[in-house]
Amino acid sequence: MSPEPPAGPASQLFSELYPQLRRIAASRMALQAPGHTLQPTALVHEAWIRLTNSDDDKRFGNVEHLFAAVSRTMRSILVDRARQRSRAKRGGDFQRVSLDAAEDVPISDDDKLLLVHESLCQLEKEDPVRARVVLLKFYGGLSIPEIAREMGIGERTVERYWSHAKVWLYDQIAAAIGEE
Amino acid sequence: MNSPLPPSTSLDIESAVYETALSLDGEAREEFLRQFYHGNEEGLERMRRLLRQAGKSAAFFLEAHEHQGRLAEEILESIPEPAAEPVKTPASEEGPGAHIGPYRLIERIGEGGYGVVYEAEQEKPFHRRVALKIIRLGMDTENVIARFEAERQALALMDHPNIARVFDAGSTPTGRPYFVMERVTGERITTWCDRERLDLRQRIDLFVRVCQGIQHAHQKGVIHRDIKPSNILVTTKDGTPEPKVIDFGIAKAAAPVLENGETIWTSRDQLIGTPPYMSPEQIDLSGLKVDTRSDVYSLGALLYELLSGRPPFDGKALAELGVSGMRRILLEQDPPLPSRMLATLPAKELAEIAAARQEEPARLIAKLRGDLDGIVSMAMAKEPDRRYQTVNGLAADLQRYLACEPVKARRPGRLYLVGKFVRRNRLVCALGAAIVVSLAGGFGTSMWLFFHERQALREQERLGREAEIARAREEHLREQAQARASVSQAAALLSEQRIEEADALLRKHPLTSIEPSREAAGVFRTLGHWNAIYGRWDQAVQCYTLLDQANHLDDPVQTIESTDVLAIAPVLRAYGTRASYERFRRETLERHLPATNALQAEHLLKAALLAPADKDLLEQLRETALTCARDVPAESGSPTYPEWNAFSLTLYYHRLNDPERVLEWADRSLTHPDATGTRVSATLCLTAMAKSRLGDREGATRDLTKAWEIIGRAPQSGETLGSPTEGGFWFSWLVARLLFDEANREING
Repeated sequence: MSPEPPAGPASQLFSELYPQLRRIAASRMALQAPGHTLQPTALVHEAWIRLTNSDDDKRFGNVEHLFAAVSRTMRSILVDRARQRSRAKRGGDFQRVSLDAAEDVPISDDDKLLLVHESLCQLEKEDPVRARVVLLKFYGGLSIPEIAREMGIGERTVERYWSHAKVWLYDQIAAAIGEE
Repeated sequence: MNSPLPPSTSLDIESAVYETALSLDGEAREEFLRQFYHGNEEGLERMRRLLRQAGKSAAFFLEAHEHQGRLAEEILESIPEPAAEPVKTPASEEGPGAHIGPYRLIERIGEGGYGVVYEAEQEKPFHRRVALKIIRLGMDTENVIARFEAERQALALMDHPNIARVFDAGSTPTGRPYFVMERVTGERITTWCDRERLDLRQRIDLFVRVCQGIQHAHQKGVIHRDIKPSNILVTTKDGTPEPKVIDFGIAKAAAPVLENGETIWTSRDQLIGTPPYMSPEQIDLSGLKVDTRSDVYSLGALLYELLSGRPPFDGKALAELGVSGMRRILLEQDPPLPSRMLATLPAKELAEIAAARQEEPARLIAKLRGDLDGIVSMAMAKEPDRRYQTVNGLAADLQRYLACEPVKARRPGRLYLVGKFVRRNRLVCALGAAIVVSLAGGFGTSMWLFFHERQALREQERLGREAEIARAREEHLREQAQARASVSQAAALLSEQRIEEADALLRKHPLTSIEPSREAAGVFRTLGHWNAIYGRWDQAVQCYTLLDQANHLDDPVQTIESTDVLAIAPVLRAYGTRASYERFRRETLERHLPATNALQAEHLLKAALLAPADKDLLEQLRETALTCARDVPAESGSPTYPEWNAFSLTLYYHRLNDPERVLEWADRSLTHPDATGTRVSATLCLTAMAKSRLGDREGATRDLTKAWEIIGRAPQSGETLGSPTEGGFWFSWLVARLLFDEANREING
């Protein structure tokens, strides 16, 4: 089963990055002992390293742009996959997990990812700067110093944004799933 | 490259309040929230909820992140295999006899979290026995070695008896990374302490030495990251135990980290490090950077075990919880206090633990309760900001405990809390200032000092971020700045006559916690001043002694031309020990002679001649007296005071026992008007003695009586004693009183 490229602005990048991700994955998997998990972090990093080491990087204008683009791509790949799995398991289609989740059903890991995605959409409206930190951190797997460099803000500020954004998002999620 | 940030949003304030509250404990946090959200119940409730969710959100994001990893794997598995790149086949382990670089493996001596340790013999460039640790398969050799190289310089700088040196790193013929270290033959610290039946005091002594080793490494910019009993070995050297910390630099190099060392999780199932000793930030999804304070946490966990015989978290029980459960516990739960943990053990286990510490079970529990419980919990606080900020801080508190002094591990007070809030938040600075002002309620003249110190704090914070290697120093400066801010605050309280509050604050932040420094001089001066005005002489002596030390770090010309020496001298003479004044005047002369203008000369004479002086000292001051008599102007343009020049010379001739000259200079001094009477009364004491020495007993008594009348009218306390024109400087009055006592003794026996 081959994942479908997501629609929208990310699609071009996706198709450009996908072969890279695949190559990385293949070489990675060979080195992994059984039971090891490939972290998206590692994936993005390697994609980034390989892309910037090749001539391809000129296409992306600058590294910052690439970071954000890779992170967005990761986000759409992962969210799509979570959505597929969640849909398959429930045998139905739904748009907003939060409604579904209000029922007294244990929240699956896939749903959790979708909830993160949705609450992040919310944060993007309220505070794009913090939302960007989350995008780069959670989906892009960038380190605090990298995010600080990319966004041109202090490391300590990034730490604070991330720490606060986590609880802000979690508060939304907790409300959606009826905790607290 | 950076677009400016959009204007601050409501989330900025929420974020600032959240972070501040998070760094505070129970009551302090509640009080802070109540003050901040005064009248805003909704806001208060929301913030309380967010704070409750802090741990859960971290765990939630960890799990989500982990699941994301599984999804990524699933996606990748679904990709058809490409033409595979050649795959490295895992090589079998190197064994005894094998050669690796210049090392020959001799014997397998252990196995640790990262791999196998061999005793090895180095053949080139010289023969020595070393320990060689081969990292297990599955790690990326190139990166491990690159990370080691990045730290090699810092590691090479480490040289401390309590640290095992790390010599080298490389890659084995089969491509596995290895590290070469000083070979330490010893027993792990916990086992050794139990076998030797060390009591609590001996254990703490030994632990403090471990701290010293770690602190040394921190000063060289190296964080250990994997402190645990098996990494601290005790060897016996000439009969004295010597703890050695091993594996420095290895955790950082070997952990599959991104550049900031943010995670120790190799995958969802594997974890490098030993969970019961790992700090929350090492376990968390890098909400925070791992820094020296992570080592403080791990040291706290080690101390926990040394004292109580059990690790803070039960490793086996944790393992049974599975990875998510384990993370949640480590992120969200505080371990039971050592004393409480012991109280829950079966009697037999407790008896064994107590026996290994040469204590009765009940006494052991009682000894841990209170200070030691407090020290362990502070070291192991979940939030790095709430821990001891340096390993030295932890060690110092333990030493305070051993010396039966109050320990620092206790609840923060209100000012601490406000200061903390303010200095974290540039963004809501105006808001913060508003709170401080509302709390302080118009503190008056000393308030600027508090703001000044707060500024210094911010500056320290900014500087500190620049390099990890400066971390230890920076923490120290920050603590110092914080202590200074607190003490300035005490001065402000004193100026308001809120004496009890000031004292409470000073108990919390004793003056002795501030090191003499140029920055600290202002704090000592202000607090000393207010103490003197309110007649708290013991405290004033302490402040002025510290001020004198701090001034040694400043420009000598500025020091001698300021009024500091004029204040320090009579305080030490009247209320310090005899030796303290003697030392002060000796050092002052050493430091400030020769006087280059009349202002300096006048100050020096007054400072040095409050007590009888021997010939040598007077001889030293001869030039100074001439400079004073000539009224040599100051290059700096500082004014000179002919009336005080005359007074100083009166005093000088008094010490020289030259009554005629005393009367001559006293006349000159007395021709100048004196609004407050300080100079006139002091001068009259000197003329009284001169007249007495010349046989004019009547004149002597008359002058002395006149002096007494003036001195008796001096204000007893209060703000006017800070003014040379209103009430007269308190230190000038003090000089008059000292001379009156002297004259009274001399004339009336």
